[in-house]
Amino acid sequence: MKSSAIAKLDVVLFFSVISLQVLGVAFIYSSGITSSGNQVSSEWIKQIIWSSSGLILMAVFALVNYRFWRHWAIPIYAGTTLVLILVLIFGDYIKGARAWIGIGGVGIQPSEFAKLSLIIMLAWWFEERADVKNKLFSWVGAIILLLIPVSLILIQPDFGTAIVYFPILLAMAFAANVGLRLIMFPVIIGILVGMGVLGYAWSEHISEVPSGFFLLFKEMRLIRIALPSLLGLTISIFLGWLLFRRKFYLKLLYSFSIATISYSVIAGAARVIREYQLMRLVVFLNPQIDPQGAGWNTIQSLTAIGSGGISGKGFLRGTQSHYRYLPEQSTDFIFSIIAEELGFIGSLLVFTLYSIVIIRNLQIAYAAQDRFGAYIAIGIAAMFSYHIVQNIGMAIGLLPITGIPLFFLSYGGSASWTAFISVGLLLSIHYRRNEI
Amino acid sequence: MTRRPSSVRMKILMVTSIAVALVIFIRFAFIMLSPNKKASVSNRAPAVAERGSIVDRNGRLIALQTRLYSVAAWKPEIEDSVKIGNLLGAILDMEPGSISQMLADNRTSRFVFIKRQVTPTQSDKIRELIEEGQIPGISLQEEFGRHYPMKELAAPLIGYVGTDNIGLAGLEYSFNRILAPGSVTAAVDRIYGNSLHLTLDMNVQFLVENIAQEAWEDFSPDSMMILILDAKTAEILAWVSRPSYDPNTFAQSNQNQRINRPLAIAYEPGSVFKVFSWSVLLDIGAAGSDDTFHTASGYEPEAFTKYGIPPITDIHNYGILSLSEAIILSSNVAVASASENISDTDFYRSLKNFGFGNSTGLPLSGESQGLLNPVSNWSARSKPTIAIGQEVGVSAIQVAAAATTLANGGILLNPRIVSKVVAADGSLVKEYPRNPVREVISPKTAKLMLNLMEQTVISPLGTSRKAAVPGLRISAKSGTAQITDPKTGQYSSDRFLSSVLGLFPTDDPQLIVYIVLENSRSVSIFGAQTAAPMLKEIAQTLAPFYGIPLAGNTVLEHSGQVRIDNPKPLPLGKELHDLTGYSKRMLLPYLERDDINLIISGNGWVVFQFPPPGTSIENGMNIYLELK
Repeated sequence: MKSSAIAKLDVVLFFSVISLQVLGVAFIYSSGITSSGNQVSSEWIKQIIWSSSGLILMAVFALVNYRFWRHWAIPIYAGTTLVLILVLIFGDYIKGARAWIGIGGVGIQPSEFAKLSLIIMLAWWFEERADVKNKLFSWVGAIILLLIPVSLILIQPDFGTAIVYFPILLAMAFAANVGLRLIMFPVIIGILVGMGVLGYAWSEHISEVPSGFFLLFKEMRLIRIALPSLLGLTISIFLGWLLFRRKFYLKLLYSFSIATISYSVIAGAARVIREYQLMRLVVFLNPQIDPQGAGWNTIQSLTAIGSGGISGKGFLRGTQSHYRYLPEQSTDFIFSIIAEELGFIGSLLVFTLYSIVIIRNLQIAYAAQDRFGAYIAIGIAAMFSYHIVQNIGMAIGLLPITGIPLFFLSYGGSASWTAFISVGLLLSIHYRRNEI
Repeated sequence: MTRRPSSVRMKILMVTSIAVALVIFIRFAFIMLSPNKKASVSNRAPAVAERGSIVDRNGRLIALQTRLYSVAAWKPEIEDSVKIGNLLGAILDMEPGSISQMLADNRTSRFVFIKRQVTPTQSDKIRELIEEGQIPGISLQEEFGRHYPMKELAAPLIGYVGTDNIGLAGLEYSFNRILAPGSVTAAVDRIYGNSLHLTLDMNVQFLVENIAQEAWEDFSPDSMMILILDAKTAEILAWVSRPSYDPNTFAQSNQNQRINRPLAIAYEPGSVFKVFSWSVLLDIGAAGSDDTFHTASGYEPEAFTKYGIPPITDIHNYGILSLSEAIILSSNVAVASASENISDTDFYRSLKNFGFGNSTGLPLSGESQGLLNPVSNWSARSKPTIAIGQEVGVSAIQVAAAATTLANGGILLNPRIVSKVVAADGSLVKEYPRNPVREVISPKTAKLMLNLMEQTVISPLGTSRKAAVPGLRISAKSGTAQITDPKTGQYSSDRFLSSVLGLFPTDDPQLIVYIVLENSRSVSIFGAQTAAPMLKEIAQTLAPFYGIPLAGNTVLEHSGQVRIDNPKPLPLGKELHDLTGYSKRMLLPYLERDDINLIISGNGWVVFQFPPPGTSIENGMNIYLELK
């Protein structure tokens, strides 16, 4: 029995994760070294503690049958929602966001764990509604389930973490056979809003001649005309559909409501977006606009990565990091240190390990014995992928800067535990793939 | 009951993941493996980009690049901002609270400069603290600064650079692109700007500034300008613009100190201008050496009475004057009435030929062109008024440049401040040679004018008699003009501009000196009383400097080389001779001898010897020599 238990363990996934974690501790150690060669940070020791405890958590979640969580989906979700509310009231204010709750001197970031609770909740929800024909209600329900934690996290405010929830929902809904038109509705809005806000940032801060088009989102007198007209059109189309019940109206309604919502969100964003957030977008478009300020991170990260070359400067020999040019090096920009010190070859190793994790993750989803397990695995895959893509994309200047950690490598207790629990869930799903 | 999710959709998810991963990976590989990225790596010492220096005609440094340290903080490494604030505040002479506040402020960039370009003493102290590990997070960043060793001397002309090494005023501004190094590229990490060689002679500048300082204290004028030009080449040797400022600390100066007066300020020159009026009148034949001028009733032609214009008068009634008397006494009436004999157009064109109303072509920005209205704007009184140096605006450099005509047989030269631009490798980038512009007056008129101007100095009645230097022939013309009050547009009743233009020696002028004092407050308002004695002092100081003979003083012609004979050491005979005064080198031959021992203490020349001279030399004897 014991031998078959080990045979059923996903050894590849397990060792990839362990390798990444070891690499992570090594480079958290490196990040704490200053130019004078002194270790100024105890983060690497803390990270060893987080990892070890995380491994235990992983084992626990691997041993527990994941279907057990099905019964606990709603209490867990309700509980995390409560904690997210408590954090807003009692949380510690760190780096401009009330995202941390202190328990005996240790800071916990509930928004990390809330991802898992949402994944379990959505897996339960989509499985419950798997055989129901009316997917519109499943979709709207899922969106509401998403918006509760997301809005609480946005209030903190932690825009970067909030964004992670969206790919999780989309991937799970996609796997749960929610209609493409339904899924595409928020996706199109998201793309339009993203382009609109980026365009607005470009027009405001980079373009020498501000584009007249983007005035449409800025000038109140134009908004007063545009918004009611769009709204009026959408409503009249809806009325038309109610009257005539023709498919043609539905298509029109689909596009016009997308236009109306996108427009209002962009116009709203143009008003409420904070200067630092806009500058992040601006420097994403052109880091040289503010090289000493908002563009600093991207430029320093690119310099670090670019200076690594093929074989790197060698472990503990990075200059960008040890001269402290690179900000947030143990968390957001850990990848840049690895690239600087281990070079292309070392980063290739990191890429390979992550690829193995994601591929195994998707294989586990594919092979899962039931929908609940498959949905959880998909949700985790989406979370992992998004974190990896967003973090590395940010480090190489491909994506705007949002401070989210790189799972398994970055320093951070909450993120490490979330990652280990996720892997534990995956191992559990994998372990029980043939139990019917 | 339980079914797996759609396999088609699972495959789509897989493909999407792989595609995204590929995009990231390609971009990543591009950054890491593209070769030109490596060049921008900042793991080396920062590239050296050095701004060229400014030197005077003898190569003496006027502006040079310095390396100063800036104190910077990298906030993530800061542990105790209060402690750092106290430590640094004491060294940098800053408020400790403001430093710790700066360090604690999370809204600004993580990297901040606490103070840029501190003094070497300050940076040494801070380096000690850094090495002791007392102030983690604080670093010293090498930055290039600009140093002006001459301080206030000619500062408004030289200008200054800002903290980012970009010229903001004066020559530093006008020649910024020439002085500034190019941008550092991947190929070269060390680049230098060109250096600027000026015609200024800082020795002369220093001597003249000393005289200016004395006058500044004696007369306390609002402002002062002195220009010294080499009369034959129009090279500007000294450029005084006061009040001045120290470009090393330009931020503490005000606009009034920074303004480059000889270039930028236009004013009514007054009687000095008569030099040029008379030159034009004499050259064109509107006046002659034998003419007499009836000045008793002032100058009041019909047009004046018709339009109610007050007559032009002199301060005294001089009666009938000859030409030289008219110039000696600086008679307004004489020159005004002589101007009747020249047409408006001819007068205007000739003055224009002297360079008035045009920029002098100096490679400096902010030059005033002065004001010389075209004939179409002239009124009935314009021509006689201009002739006495009013209703015309000139800059000091225009007057000094116009005076080159007198020294060069009537040919106007363009004044020069920059002699050449030299690249860092020593190659010549650009040269500014002597530039004759045009013949304005005949050589004969120039000669005559110089002689007439000499009369104003040597005549006991001459307005410039206080400029007289015993033994030196000097041509000069002083002037006093009323200053137009910028508020009212009217002549101010108590503000005057005193000036004097001098050329010497008269028979073949070598130097042009032009002195302007604005609103002197003591002794006298008149140029004759303030500026003329300054001219005398300058001439006395500079004449020996330039080898201009003063009668009574012998001028020694010397090749400039001094031969120093190296005395041959005397061979030692039977007796020891006097070795005092011998250099150590000269003792060498004795050291080579085996029969005596030289015991030498000290360095330099022999001051003491034992045994004394005359002692007979014996085999193996010791000779003590003390050198100093």
